[in-house]
Amino acid sequence: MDLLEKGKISGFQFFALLVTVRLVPVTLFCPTVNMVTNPATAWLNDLIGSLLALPLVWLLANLSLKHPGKSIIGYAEDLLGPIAGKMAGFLIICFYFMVAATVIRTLGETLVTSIMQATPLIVFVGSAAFLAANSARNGMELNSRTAAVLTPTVVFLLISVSFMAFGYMDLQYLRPIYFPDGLTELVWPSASVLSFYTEFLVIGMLVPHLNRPEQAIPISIGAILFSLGVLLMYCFVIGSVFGPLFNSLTLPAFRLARTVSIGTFLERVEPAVTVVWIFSACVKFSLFVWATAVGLSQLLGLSDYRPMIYPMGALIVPVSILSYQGVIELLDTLTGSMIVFAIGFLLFLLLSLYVAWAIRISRQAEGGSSN
Amino acid sequence: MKRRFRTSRYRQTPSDPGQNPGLESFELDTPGAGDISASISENENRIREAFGNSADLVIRKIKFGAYSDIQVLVVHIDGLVDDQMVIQSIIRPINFFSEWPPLEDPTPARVYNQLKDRLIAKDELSEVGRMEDLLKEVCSGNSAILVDGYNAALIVDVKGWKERNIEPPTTEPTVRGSKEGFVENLRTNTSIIRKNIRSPRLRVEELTIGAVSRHKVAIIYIDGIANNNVVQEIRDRISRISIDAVQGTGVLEEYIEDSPYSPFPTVLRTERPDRAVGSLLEGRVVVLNTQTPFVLIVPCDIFMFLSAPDDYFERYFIGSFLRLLRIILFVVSLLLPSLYVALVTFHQEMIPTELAVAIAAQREGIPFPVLVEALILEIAFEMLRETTARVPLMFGPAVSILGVLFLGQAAVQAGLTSPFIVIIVSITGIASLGVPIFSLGISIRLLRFVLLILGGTLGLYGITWGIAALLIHLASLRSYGVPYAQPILPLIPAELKDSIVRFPWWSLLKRPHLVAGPNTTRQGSDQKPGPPPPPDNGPQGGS
Repeated sequence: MDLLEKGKISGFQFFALLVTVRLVPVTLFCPTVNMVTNPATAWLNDLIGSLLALPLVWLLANLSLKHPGKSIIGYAEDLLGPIAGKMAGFLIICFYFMVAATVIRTLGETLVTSIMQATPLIVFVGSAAFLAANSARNGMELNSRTAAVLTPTVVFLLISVSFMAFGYMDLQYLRPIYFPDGLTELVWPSASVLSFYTEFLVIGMLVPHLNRPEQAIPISIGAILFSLGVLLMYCFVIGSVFGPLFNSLTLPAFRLARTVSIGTFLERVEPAVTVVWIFSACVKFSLFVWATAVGLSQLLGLSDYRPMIYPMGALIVPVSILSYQGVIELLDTLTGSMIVFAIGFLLFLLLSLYVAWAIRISRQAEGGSSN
Repeated sequence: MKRRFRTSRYRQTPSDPGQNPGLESFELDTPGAGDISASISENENRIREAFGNSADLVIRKIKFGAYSDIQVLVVHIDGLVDDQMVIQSIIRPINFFSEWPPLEDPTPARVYNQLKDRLIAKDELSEVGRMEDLLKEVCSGNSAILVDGYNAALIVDVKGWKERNIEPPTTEPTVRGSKEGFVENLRTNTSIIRKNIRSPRLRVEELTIGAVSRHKVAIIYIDGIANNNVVQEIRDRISRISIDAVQGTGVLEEYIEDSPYSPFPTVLRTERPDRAVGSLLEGRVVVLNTQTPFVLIVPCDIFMFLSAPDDYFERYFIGSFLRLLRIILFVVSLLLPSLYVALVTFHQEMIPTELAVAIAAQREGIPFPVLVEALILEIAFEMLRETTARVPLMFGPAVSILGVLFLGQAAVQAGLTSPFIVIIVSITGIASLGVPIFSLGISIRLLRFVLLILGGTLGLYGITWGIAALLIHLASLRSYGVPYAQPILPLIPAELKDSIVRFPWWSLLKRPHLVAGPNTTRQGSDQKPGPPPPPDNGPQGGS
């Protein structure tokens, strides 16, 4: 199956895309924190979740490297055979589709909850989806260029908001580190952190387009570690600023921006902060719409993916609106069933691909020795 | 970041750049077409008939010397040729110099060859055999010489029409730069460029476009620095044009740009030779045309539109500061009114309390929403600007006075608008004049209205949406294969040295590598100036 996209991305752009993928749910929502009982222990979840993500992402990137010039849709079919391979491909595309729907809904909910309460959700979801679909239609190069400029901006903004919050911090909130319900408390929040890393499944679509594919593994690992750093910083800041309120915030990042001020002249910077988050959410959405459209076109053997983009975008909008009743249900899903589903799906996929690969290698070895 | 050119089904490589087969259908029938006849009177009649006895057609019949009966016909158009030059280099040689020594056996062929090889005192001489070519040359300001009994004509370049002197460019003034501007003459313009780049590698290629007007277009580039693909692409795009006349580079631009539907110009227009020369040295290609003092530069990126020659002539601190200031002006002129409207309408909490109260107090009693208020003033300002540009000079002051009265005072006093919006629109107006290249400034004017409406309906989200759409568009734009928003989108760290700021000259070692061709090294490294290193043996006097 030939690649439909001819664009190439640099190592830094790949890194920026992955960081955007991981940080967007954090910069808008921070669902993990709702599951933590003691703010002093929240950072442990980020650490455990991210470290667990390392081997999974390594396995994923390794598969792509062993099948150069093929996307995950292509090599899944090679490994699993035409029927099972197509099914696996379809499931992967559904996963991308679902991630896109969740991202766009998250973006819409953030806007409706925080700054423009009177505007219907569909206005934000629809217009952002249209914009991102336009970007996706221009090919992956454009999206990665935007990400390369945007990611440093977002990270800079996160860091500067954290700095501005310095005066509001109370480091007493960050201790003692104890677990009222025992160490089992760590399981679900860490799994939640890990579940967001499953979105790195998009690596399977990106690696064939890297200028130097051999960089895929170090860059992916670097993106995880970088995201971990940002997550830890964020965790400490939110924990020390909000303390006991920590796990009752719907939009902690937003509340943080609302709290801080620069001197006496720049107050309530949250709409400005939200603006940058909108950008990064659009980039992530655009990436997943692109992945869905390219994947589906490859699966169906189409010669061009561009005609798929707008229909995909149009389909994602109603799905994203109908999937969740409201922001609470969205949060419930992200911190509940989604964890099991996402991690389970990734593990199952990796397992089946590696088993198929092992069988293939052993068969080739047998064939080689019999000759 | 591979170079990508729009492949076109129209692309064709003409065998001779000057002759475009596509143009033939546009050509009006030339009366008297065909080979030049041997009979001088028949030729004369055909020429007169072709021009329909135009009053400015000059046909002079002279005898070749005192002792032969062979007649010579000199044809040109009055006003297009330099009279002195015609007398010096054509009439006088035919009349007098042909006697020293006289031709022994004057046959028409000998007379013709004598004229061609010895007599005509002009270096630019050519021959034509067909009447339509002769007519075209005469229309271009050349003089044609026909000899009775010989079926070919000599064409002598004696162009000498009236033209404007070289003057300082009016649309792009500068403080420390050159005061020379381009003029409406192609040859003068190429000579200005030649004068600045004295290298045989400077290539000037001329194409003729316009089936009726037959204007010359010149493509100038430096061989070895410019990218050959870009040069070929320009050649192709220009030779594809089939039209009766191209009136100046503004029209030409619409035929050779990359994205006809984009609000952003992807071809840079300039009146300044130093800008053109600087671009040539970066590996870009300059296109000149006869009718306007503006030349076109491709490929270009958006930062070229925001840079001015003074950035390079002032020291780099000041140059960088000015460049940054101009980028801020660009952003302000694009965003300020929409941000104000969005903040006042939707996000009052972001405005400091005292200011918010002041704005609210002044807006009391104003019947319109902020968006309408802003639109009224913006449109009034645009009206004022357009009128002052078009009005006859003597009415200019009247328009300004009325404008000041309306915009500055009466609108506020009548309770139509608040003073804040007047301030906002005035700052925007000043900022929008800070964009050095007019063609970009004019497209911001349109985009400002779009953003204003987005900001007034969807608040900051609307503006973000608009900016995101603009960014996506900018990132997808290309000018002759070069990304329009480089070096930001895509991010090319090495080339940020001459974009938002300007680094010192001695640190700009490379030409833009997406633009320049094979050779991208601009200068030797290690040229940072400084005092000489102290000698090892301590200070020594006397030497």
